[in-house]
Amino acid sequence: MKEQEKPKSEERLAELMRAACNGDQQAYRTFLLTVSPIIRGVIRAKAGGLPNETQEDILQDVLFAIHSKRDTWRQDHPIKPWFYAIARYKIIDAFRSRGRADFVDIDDFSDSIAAPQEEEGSEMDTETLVTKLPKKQQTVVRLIAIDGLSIKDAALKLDMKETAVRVNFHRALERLRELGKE
Amino acid sequence: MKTDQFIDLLAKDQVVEKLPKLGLYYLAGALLLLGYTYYLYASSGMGVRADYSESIVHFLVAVKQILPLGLAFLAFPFLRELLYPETRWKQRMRLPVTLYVASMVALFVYAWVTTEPELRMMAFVGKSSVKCLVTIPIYSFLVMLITFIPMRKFAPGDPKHAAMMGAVVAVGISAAIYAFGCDEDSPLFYAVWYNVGMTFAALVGGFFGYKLLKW
Repeated sequence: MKEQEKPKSEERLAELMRAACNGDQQAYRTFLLTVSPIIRGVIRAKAGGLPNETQEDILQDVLFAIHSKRDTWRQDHPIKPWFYAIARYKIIDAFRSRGRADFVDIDDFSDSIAAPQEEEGSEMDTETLVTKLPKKQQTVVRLIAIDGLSIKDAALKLDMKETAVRVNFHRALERLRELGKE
Repeated sequence: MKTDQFIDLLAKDQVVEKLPKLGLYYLAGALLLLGYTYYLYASSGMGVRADYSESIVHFLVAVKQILPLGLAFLAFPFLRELLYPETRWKQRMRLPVTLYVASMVALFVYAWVTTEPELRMMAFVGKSSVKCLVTIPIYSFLVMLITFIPMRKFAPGDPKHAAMMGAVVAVGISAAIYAFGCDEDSPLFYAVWYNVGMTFAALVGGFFGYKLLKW
């Protein structure tokens, strides 16, 4: 990455995340799509020998951690050190749980070559995983993720409070991650 | 699940929780202990020493509360920093504990030199070392229980040091509140027994806190 591009990408990521914190789903999606290749690149560089599916699992663990802890980003602080730190923490954790003791440095992220997603044949799709969720969570995920309803509209349709819908959706995501690993 | 599909799901999950104001939880812990101290005083005359208002004007009595409280106040900003993922442990974060220990050592040496030799052992042993060793840790664990649970909403990049720092703040507050009822005024006593109790509580709290703060 050229030197003059670095501040722009830091700025761009921060801008996307700020918009996401204000409820812009598209900005948040773009943010996650932008950081994924960077994290994937580090995992590939360090994970040598682990199957691609496992590497992708680790990436999704990192993305879920960034997602769960996104309120720990202080908007007046740079964003790259923040998500690098989360990614590093989860990557080391993932390696340890798989019996590896690789050292992952923060510099590995800024030096990494971004790696695009490869097509994998054996991953279960969302629909298959959703059928394994508890009934209520299944309904919430179908309405929001598959039918494309907003949280508000899903709450109206299900005659639930918005907070209850959000909580169910969030729990469903956690469960989907666990199911995806099985 | 393909990562792109997973990202689509994440993007729709728009729950952004506000992080807890940790200071309020420590304050709640302190108020709870103060409330209990007042209850003891009101119901049985214990909890607050009978001559508190007369004795607190003396320097060696006042520092029993000022120093642990100072430790808690100095450690708290470092704790807040350590709860964020990008903060790494730095040498300067040892400062609150270093200053506190140095002060206690200086007070002990001062008391040793100024206390008559035949009175030193009595001052050192005191009458309430066991009470001190039991009460300070119990108070500390109560404060840690109230504060470590909300701390889990954060994402400390170094949970071990974050937990230790959280425990240090808790023991500082607890020792300061315990001192309301303590009539052992010699630094030969409190520079040792308070700190044994505080160290034990901090180590146990740090150990279990670390397990709690891992994410």
